[in-house]
Amino acid sequence: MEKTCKDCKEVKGIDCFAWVSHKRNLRQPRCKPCHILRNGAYQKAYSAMYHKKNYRPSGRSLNKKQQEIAGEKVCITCNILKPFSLYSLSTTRYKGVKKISLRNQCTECINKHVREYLKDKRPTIEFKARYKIYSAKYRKSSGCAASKRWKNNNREKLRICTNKRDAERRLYLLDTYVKQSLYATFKKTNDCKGLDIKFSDFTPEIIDAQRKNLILKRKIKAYEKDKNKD
Amino acid sequence: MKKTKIKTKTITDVIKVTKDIGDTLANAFDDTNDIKVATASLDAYRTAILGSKTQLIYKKLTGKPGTIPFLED
Repeated sequence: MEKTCKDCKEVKGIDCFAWVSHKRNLRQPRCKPCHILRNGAYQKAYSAMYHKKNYRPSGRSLNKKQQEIAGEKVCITCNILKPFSLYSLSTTRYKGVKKISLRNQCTECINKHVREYLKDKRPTIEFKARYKIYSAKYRKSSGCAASKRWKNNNREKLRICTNKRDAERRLYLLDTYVKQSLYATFKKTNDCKGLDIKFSDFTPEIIDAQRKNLILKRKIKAYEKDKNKD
Repeated sequence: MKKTKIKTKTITDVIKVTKDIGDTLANAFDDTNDIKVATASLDAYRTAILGSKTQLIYKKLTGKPGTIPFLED
């Protein structure tokens, strides 16, 4: 069996034509390579058209993911797609975890905004004179350099200080959960209404008792769970 | 046999003693796995917490350090 292609008009074997349906014994009017070419061109044209229609460069229709893939981002103020290099980085913290992301405004817009904001707040002559004196004093004393020198000379002292600070922080983090639970129990009853109770008011004895109480409660819960399983 | 006397004059003594009772009962729960013992130790801890709570409230209301005169008498 042979068939002529609609595009290239060559006579080819029937296996060169893709199936439309087996039931009706129908095959494509174009051969496989022609079909792929035509289909690819159509898809490209259609996708370009669709992109023009839906993804406006000035609009915010692009998803965050699409923006990230394209390496471009829409500025909030000027509504223009711009590459990542024109955005400055911003750091945020959520539950102690540092997160670095791009700003929503491009650097141009930020600079514009800052210039407008500082129009009325330009430094006066008096302020400038005072600043000059202060800067001269600072240079003389070389505060920054002095601190660096001190750090280099007293490394052991610094190490002890940092260790102490870290230990204090760890202790604070350890006790926060216990303190919060204590605070909740205090708030439940109306005895402490009107009194400003802070975490610093809790004595180590009460914190220790509450910690042991919580540990025991957990133990009982685990024991009951095991019992129910058996 | 000589009986050891436990002094519970001040509120701090009460807190200490109740905490000790709670500790001993918690150790007993670890050995025996008896829930009655565990609940008793929980009660002991609760009383210790309540004692310190009263101390704190008294401190806040009067502004004096944590000694309650009517408990000492």
